[in-house]
Amino acid sequence: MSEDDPRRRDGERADSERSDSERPDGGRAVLDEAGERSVEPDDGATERSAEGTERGGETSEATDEADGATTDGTAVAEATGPTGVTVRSSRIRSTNHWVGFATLVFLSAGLGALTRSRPLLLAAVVGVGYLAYANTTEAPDPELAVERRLSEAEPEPGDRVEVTVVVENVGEAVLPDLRVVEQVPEALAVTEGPARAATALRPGARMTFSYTLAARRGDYRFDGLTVIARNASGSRERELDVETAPASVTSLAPVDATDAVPLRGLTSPYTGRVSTDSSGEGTEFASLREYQHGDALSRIDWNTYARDKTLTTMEFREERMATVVLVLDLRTEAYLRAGDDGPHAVDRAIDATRRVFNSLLDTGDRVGLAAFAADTVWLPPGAGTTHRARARELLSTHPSLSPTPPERRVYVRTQLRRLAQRLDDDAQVVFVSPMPDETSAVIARSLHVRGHAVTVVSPDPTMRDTPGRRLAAIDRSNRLNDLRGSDVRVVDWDDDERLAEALERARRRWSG
Amino acid sequence: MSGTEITRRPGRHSLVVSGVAGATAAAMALAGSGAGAVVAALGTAALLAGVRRANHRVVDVGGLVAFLGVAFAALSEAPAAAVLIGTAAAVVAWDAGTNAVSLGRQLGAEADTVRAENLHAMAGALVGLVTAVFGLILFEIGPTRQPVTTLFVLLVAGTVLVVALNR
Amino acid sequence: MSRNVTATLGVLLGVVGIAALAVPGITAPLPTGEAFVILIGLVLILGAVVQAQRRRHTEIEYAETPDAELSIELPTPGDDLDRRLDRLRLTRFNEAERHRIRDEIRDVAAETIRRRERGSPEAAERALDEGTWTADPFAAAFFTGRVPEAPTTDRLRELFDRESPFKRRAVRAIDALERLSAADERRDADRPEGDDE
Repeated sequence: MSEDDPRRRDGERADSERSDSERPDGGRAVLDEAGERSVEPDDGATERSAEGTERGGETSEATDEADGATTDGTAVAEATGPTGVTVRSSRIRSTNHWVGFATLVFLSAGLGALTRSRPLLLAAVVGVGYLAYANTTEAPDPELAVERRLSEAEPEPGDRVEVTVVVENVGEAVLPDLRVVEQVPEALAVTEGPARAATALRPGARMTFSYTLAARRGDYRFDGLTVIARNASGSRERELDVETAPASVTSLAPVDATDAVPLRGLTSPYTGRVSTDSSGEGTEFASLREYQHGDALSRIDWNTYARDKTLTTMEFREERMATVVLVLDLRTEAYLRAGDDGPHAVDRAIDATRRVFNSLLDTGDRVGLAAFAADTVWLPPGAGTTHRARARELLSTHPSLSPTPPERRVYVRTQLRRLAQRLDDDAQVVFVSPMPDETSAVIARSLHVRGHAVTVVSPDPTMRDTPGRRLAAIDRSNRLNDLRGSDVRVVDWDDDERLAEALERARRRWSG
Repeated sequence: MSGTEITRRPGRHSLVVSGVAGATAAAMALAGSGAGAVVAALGTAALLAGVRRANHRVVDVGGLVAFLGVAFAALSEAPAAAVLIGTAAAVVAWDAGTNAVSLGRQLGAEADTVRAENLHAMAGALVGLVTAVFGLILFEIGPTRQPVTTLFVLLVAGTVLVVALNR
Repeated sequence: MSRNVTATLGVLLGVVGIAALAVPGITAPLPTGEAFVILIGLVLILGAVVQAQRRRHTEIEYAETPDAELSIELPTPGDDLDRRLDRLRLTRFNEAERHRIRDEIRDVAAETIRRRERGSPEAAERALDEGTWTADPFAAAFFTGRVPEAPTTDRLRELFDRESPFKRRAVRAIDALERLSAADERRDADRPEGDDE
């Protein structure tokens, strides 16, 4: 690994297969570019066009994130180069690498004294030199600029995407020992080369390393790097969590681009029997009952009287704003996926929750959010723009709504109790869960029994290609039908249908 | 889990770096005594085994034994220069080995750490060389060949100071 | 010894030593007798042992890096059962596991039959015990434990099958359940919700 002329080295790289490495261990080579703070655009363009044609004409347009630099079709000019980073967190520690090294010094000096050997005493001096080397410098605080280039920003699922990371030392200090670990999105797997590298960087120097991913359906963001900076002797170490300019890999935008979903019948807008004198807008005829002395004449059903000569009174229900709470199932058991690819059940559930939430707000209901998760998730029902914004933030950033299963246990009984306490008496519940086990059915039933109208929206995580999976599908089907039998409405949302279709299908079922 | 998991051990290059340094120490020890060279070589072998298994303790012991080999050679009237270079080499072997273990645990064997390791080893070698030359000139071959006592006092002073600064 | 005392001592000695470089005579009064030197030597060796102990008792610690290259694979419901069914082939003596698997499938079967027949749980269990819930003799045999009532040729064919009879019958039972469940679905689809039980 030498400080070669960058152009020559990159040219060599373009000649040979990218994946070849000269490292005996078979790892990917780390490239260091010496000196120049910025790459001349010409160099960048010619090199990358060579690589572009190498890969069969696949130009990495995606890398021109920031500036949208002009491309003339084949060449991709380096748009901005590395951009500055923000440090999210930093930690400094003593490694204790050199603790006890004085053993050598004392041993050498003692033996030298006992045997009157000058060389040994001098050897002890060498040791003291090392002690000074070890103990008098501090781990540097690196100032870095990072660029991440993707070979393909919108690949097909399963395609190989090569990610190249360039780290530049934009500070004044030498970084004698810099170690970098890429924060690969949790759902993506690296197929070639570690997403890590180490080197020393003078001010202005850059380090480049790359690795290959297998693309997956969905949208994934790369926005972080773990940086470990040590002093030259290795006695002090600074660990940083660094935020870089984001890059993303999107494979097949989600099938449903639209936000709104048809909600008729999903929740009942009529929340109680309220006697009212008028049968105007906002009321729904509910039932007939026997006339009782004192009932208003205007509420007598004259049609029935005309027919049977019996007096009956009409009862109406008044339409009011419904209070709905959307409850997410975020337990480990809910993290399931139909097959190897695509969004998993919780992703779909969160997506459905977002859309239903917004649609319910649009129709004027008060909506809230809750979840069975490791941490508390609770947004009391409300309405309005602020409320909508708060919900959007919760659904995007709450740590419990993560693409990966929780690390801690979820205590269902406690959370169920707490949820029941928080719910208004007339609140309706939409429980969004793949319904993978009996517990999920218990949750739905418990809430229903307490008087809340429950609708279950269930992304189907089952497949039917192997015996075990078929049995699980039957089991889930039984569970859903059981709930239907208990007057709980269930929307069974298949993997390959749009949410709107599933809701429509269910609505038809409910209204006969 | 899918994806390629890294092997959390040093790569082959680490063995080369520490091996070369350790061999130098043994070679220097040879200038004084064959037995010392053998001890130094054994120490190096242990050190390399420790690097291979990413075990800090074994690396420490190996380094110490390698130095003992050099010390043994010093007691057998090896020239001062050889002793000093041998000592520095033993320290470099140990330092590079410990660094390699940390690199292996943090980055894995598949990561390219050649440049980082080389630079670290060279820095260590430089420190050893500079102090060795300094010591030699001041106390051994220089025009103002100082008496042992001065050396001793300065040595103790230096050690005490640095240990006091120790982290 | 506290840091400050050590540091002061070091500085003092350093001053003396540097002075000795300039004026060699300063160090003359220091004792250089045999005994003294040996004492110093031993003290230093002792210091070496102390330092070695210190090394032994200090952990080398540095940042731990996560397994960034790995991704979490999420299961599809039923993967666990598939794995256990496959594993059965490898080991011979695992009656307990077979029982467990059979019980798990039986639970789902009982529920499916109960729904289909709209009967009681006891009736469903009886149907399983007697094998009257399905036309497939091998599927029935999975739960009855008796010899399947099938033509001899079929039974012979089963014998020569590479799959273990347990797994094969389990699969047929699951297939039979699927047919039941599908029929159930079709019937429910014709009937609107709210009429169920």
